Amino acid sequence: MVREIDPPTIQKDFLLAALAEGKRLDGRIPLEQRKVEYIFGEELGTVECRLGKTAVLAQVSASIVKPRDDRPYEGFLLINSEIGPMASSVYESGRSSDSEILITRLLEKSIRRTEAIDREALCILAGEKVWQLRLTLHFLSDSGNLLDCASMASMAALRHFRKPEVEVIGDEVIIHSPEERAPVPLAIHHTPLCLTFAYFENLPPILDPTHLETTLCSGTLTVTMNAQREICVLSKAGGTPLAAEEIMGVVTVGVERVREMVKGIEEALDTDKEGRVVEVR
Amino acid sequence: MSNAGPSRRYDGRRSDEMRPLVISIGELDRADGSGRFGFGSTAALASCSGPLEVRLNKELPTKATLEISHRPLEGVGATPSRALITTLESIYPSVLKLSSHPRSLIQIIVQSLSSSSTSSTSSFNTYNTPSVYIDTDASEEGEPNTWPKPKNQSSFPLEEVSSPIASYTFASRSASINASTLAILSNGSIPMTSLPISISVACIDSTQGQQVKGDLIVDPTVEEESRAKSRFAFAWAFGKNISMIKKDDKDSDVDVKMELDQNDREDEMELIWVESEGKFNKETFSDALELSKIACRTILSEIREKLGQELESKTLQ
Repeated sequence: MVREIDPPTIQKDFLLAALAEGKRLDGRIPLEQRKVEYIFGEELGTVECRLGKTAVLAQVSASIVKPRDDRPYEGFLLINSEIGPMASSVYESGRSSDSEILITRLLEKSIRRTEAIDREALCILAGEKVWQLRLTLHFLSDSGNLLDCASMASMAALRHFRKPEVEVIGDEVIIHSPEERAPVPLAIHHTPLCLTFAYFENLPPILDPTHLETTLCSGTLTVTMNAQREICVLSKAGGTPLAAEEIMGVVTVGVERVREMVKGIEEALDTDKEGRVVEVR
Repeated sequence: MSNAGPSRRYDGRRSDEMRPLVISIGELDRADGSGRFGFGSTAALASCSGPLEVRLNKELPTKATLEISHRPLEGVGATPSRALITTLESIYPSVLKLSSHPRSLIQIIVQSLSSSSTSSTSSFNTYNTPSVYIDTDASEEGEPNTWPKPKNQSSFPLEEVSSPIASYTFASRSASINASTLAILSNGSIPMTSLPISISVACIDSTQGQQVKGDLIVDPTVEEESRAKSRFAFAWAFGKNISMIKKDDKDSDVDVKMELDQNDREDEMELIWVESEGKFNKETFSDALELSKIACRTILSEIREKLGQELESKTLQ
């Protein structure tokens, strides 16, 4: 069992002293996010998101299945998010650590439970055939704040993905290959994104903590918001108690950030679209 | 499929030309070593961590425990994934000096960046797997493995076994091997006796009725593999002489290598792994073997160049 070594006291003191002056070790200001970069794969629905040195690869695939009996009009969205030892050797494959469960649960809440994907639009033939989307997340490198990176990668992948067009004639379903008809994008209601803040004793919160900052902080707060100024998920799992005003302050900052992030995703998607040959006949 | 002439390929490559190689070393921050290798879009990312603390029940008193895992692009690991792990497990223990890190763990994780394909379920369902596997351990002391092997060890006319599994394409298996090699290199703390480098070759049946019966193409794409008559993947271990040259003079290494004549160059590489499927004869196989040698040398020189740049940029910081 690999355990992580605690950072040395001198490093901790230095980090806290710098933070007290409003500076962070990588030169960011407290409420600044690391540089976000999207790398699109050759296939639609494959996106690698990099947040500084943290990297998550998201992949979306679709298959046709039978819907549940009690919900004949609804498709499925499955999220696979196992953190393997590639991200960091503290994660073991097969057994999930507490932080891994927390990340998985929050992702589930912020993508599936917020109804970001219109699941009824995934219906092909009521009670017979629906689309099942499978979102697989690969955590490549954990340099802190895997959650935000994963949520960005997931939403970018879902928006990048195209499902084959289907035609229903009576009871017959025809699936058109991409060569025949241009695949169609998913129906997406909104783009919820996670923002993680880290708290230190008697210091203002910082956005997007690095790995070292996560290890040293006294508590984190994750808000999931969309560009429509709505809070989708708010998670504060233990750590320092916070005053209500402080949470409001964080949310106000978050509103702006999420807008920028959604814009970032859209810009990246547009750039990718220009370079991609989409056959429209 | 009509424009496939004897030497023409869809993407306009020559038959012995690879797709542009994607090589990047050390891009993952939290792994001790990592490498990405791609033949064009057929790519794999690997990380190598170690020596690490090992769990007590896996601890070996005389050598390091090598743990290789693989993650497919979509879903969770299944049979194709397991097959790939077995391949890697057959290659790496023989090239790594695991005895230099007893009672520790060396972890290699391979992440496929291209989806597994069902190419093998197309036209030809006949398999000869694993057709040949040559262990380098035996050759450590004496002569290098030579091909063709003596008759009694030759595995050419194997009975054909049909297999229904969808597996990784040969190109993506090769990419996984090369990515793992890059990851171990980038880790830097695990001694290697040689450097395994892999390439896939396919034999396309030219239906044009030309004099050329089967065209061998290096680094086939998914489509090319699916319509190939037979497919091969070779891994060559580069080592021995190279390491000796390096000891003498690091800088003139490339020049010395150029001066070596063909015979000497043969000695510095050994066949470490072969997988093939489909129908082929002895000539096709030896031709493919020769082609793979040249291709692997090209890959090696590209890796060297990239690794050199990587090391240089590290010393500057």
